[in-house]
Amino acid sequence: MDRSTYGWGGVSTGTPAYTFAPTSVRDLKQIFSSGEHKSFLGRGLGRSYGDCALNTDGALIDCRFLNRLLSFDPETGILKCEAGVSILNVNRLLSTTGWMLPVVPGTQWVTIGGAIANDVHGKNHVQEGCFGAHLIALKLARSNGEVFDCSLESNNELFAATIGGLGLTGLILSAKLQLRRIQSLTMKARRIPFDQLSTLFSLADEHFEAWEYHSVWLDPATGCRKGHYIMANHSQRQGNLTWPAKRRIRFGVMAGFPSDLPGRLVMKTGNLWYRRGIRSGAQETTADAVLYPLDRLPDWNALFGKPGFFQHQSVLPTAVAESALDELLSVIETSGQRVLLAVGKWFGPRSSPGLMSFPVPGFSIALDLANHGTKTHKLLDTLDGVVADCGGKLYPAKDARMSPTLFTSGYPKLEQFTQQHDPLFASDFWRRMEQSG
Amino acid sequence: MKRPIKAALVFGATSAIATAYCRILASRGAVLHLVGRDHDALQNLAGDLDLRGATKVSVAVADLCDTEQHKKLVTEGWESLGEPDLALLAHATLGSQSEGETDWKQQRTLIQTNLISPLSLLTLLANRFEQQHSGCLAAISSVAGDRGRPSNYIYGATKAGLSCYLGGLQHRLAATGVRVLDLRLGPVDTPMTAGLSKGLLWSTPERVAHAMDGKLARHHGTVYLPAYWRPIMGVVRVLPDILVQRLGI
Ligand SMILES: Cc1cc2nc3c(=O)[nH]c(=O)nc-3n(C[C@H](O)[C@H](O)[C@H](O)COP(=O)(O)OP(=O)(O)OC[C@H]3O[C@@H](n4cnc5c(N)ncnc54)[C@H](O)[C@@H]3O)c2cc1C
Ligand SMILES: NC(=O)c1ccc[n+]([C@@H]2O[C@H](COP(=O)([O-])OP(=O)(O)OC[C@H]3O[C@@H](n4cnc5c(N)ncnc54)[C@H](OP(=O)(O)O)[C@@H]3O)[C@@H](O)[C@H]2O)c1
Repeated sequence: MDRSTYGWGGVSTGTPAYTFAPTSVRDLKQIFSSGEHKSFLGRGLGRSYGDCALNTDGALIDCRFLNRLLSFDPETGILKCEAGVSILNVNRLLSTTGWMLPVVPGTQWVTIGGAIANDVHGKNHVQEGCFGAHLIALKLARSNGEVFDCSLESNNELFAATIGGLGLTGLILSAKLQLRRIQSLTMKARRIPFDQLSTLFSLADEHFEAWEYHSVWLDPATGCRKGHYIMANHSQRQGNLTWPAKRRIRFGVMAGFPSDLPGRLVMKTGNLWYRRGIRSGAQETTADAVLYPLDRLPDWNALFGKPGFFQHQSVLPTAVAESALDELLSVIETSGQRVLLAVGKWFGPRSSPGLMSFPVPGFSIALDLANHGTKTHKLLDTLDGVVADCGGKLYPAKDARMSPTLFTSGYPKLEQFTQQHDPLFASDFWRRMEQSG
Repeated sequence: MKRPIKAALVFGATSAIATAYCRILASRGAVLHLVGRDHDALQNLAGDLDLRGATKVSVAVADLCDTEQHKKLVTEGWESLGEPDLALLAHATLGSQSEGETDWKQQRTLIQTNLISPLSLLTLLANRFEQQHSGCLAAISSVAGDRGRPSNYIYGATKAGLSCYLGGLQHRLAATGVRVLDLRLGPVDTPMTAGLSKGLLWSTPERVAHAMDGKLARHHGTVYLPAYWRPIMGVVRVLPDILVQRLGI
């Protein structure tokens, strides 16, 4: 099956009229000028859960082969690379030089272009902000054939709109990024179990100063009211810098399986393993284990087969985060549906140049839910209500069904953004937001 | 003769498969001379290979359908590499079978790119390698050439011609110490196949390049990559006609 017709969650589908994989600007200009296509959209590794990387009936520009590193300066840590380079390859190739991307999402199978277009965040948002905060410049191709060099200094409006711009401002060709120094790939991590939400929030207050990475695992078996608080720091001692090459278990063949049962079972086992695996107190671990715990099973989404699954990721503003989280969990409890996986992160005040960036200071909760049709849609709508009422917002990278109203209320710079929109770029997500939006 | 590949001349270097293979060579510090038709893409690739550890990377820009230029391109290759251990031909185009059936111009482009151009280059390269008494001459062919099938016989015919030529060359050069390889690939997820539905038997440029690497250092003759294509094509070649028609493969 062709993965470029699915979102990562498997729920959103959309077959493009044409798929094209450029390896040069010349290739791109050719398709832009052919006049044969009614719309264009870039696509990276398809790790967005919903429909932001789908372009039904339009031209999909598969960027995976624009994957060359252009230059790297081991003195300054400045990397120039094409947009289809994956975070995995940056890790593999550059960690040995003692440099790493300062902000990474929870999987390495993400392209630099995709990371910019969703202005991704990591577990260290409080300290480092979004991906866009470390982006020095980017090169963007527009459908009229023009190519722009964008940065805070030049074409800054296009720069700001492209960061978090959901691929709608044109095609990102390459990027210039500031990496951060690391002494080794060893990390010190600490897990603290908590048995009520209020403890979770006080733990955060207590530990923000001393630790860089913060994440939360909520135990679905307890209605997500208990869980583990996980903190980590880079080790300051010199040590191993070779990125591990791991054997991974692959499930790609399960895509299209009629049931999501294998997925639900694996999630259950995962949660169980997590609950048992508790070791509090500081322990030595590795960067890949802290940053990309799900990458051990690279295509785990295929286990959800045809039905697929949803992820509802919201950010709840700091002042109301605890009560809003409590309400979200109560709504789920009342619905009788079970969360498959629940993880949380904190967002700090560091702003991104991106007009459409998702993070605002607060607590961000990602809830994975099996797709039970109307019942699940209803539940998700109710969750949206809670998010809207508390002044929160949803993450388009994870969304397959939010309403245009919620989108508009969450992204106040939408109008400013629309002015930079390339008229021929569109996605299924965008068309959905434009409906009655 | 078996010796590691330290200097390679690559035609169609910006192809996904050639790029993946060049990266393996670069990580071992090889010297590379890349030929392709897009200057910027070649420059970017040269930068990438340089970062990955290549000792030296030079590039030449040419439309490889222009056979007039081949002599110059080959000479330049020898000038920048000294005595190359490998010349790899990776350029080709897939075209559209259904359009090609009624469009001779498209068929002709396919024949020019996938057959005439490589044969012209192979002629020159074979003679250079023969004088050198060493080296490896390899071209990427396809399982599509193993049997004429309704789904891709135009492309298949060009690859069948290429494979046949390589087979002959291999025997001609057998006694000279020059190895000739016919790399017969199954379907790979690359720009050439963008938009095609990918099944279980599909491979990736990285996996194919890794397998190629194992073969190019010592083998000669026809190699199927990934290796499971040898038995599969063994069966496809002897399938009764009626089945080929029914399956529409
Ligand atoms: C297991 C898992 C964990 C994750 N964890 C996190 C996390 O912790 N934090 C987080 O922020 N996100 C997270 N994500 C989401 C992921 O980081 C984003 O969806 C990211 O954008 C995916 O990148 P991609 O290369 O797969 O792009 P795609 O999903 O293919 O595309 C994403 C968007 O980028 C656009 N795009 C892609 N390439 C280009 C280009 N060259 N030019 C212009 N536009 C382009 C597309 O049009 C689309 O709008 C996670 C996803 C998974 C599967
Ligand atoms: N992908 C498969 O499923 C598959 C299967 C079997 C065999 N193969 C063979 O593998 C080889 C590599 O292909 P690929 O899959 O890696 O596809 P690819 O990335 O599309 O590579 C094809 C390359 O050929 C180049 N090319 C085409 N016409 C040219 C010309 N006139 N002059 C110079 N260069 C030209 C292209 O250059 P531009 O980038 O400038 O267009 C491109 O770099 C090909 O021989 C192909 O037939 C592929």
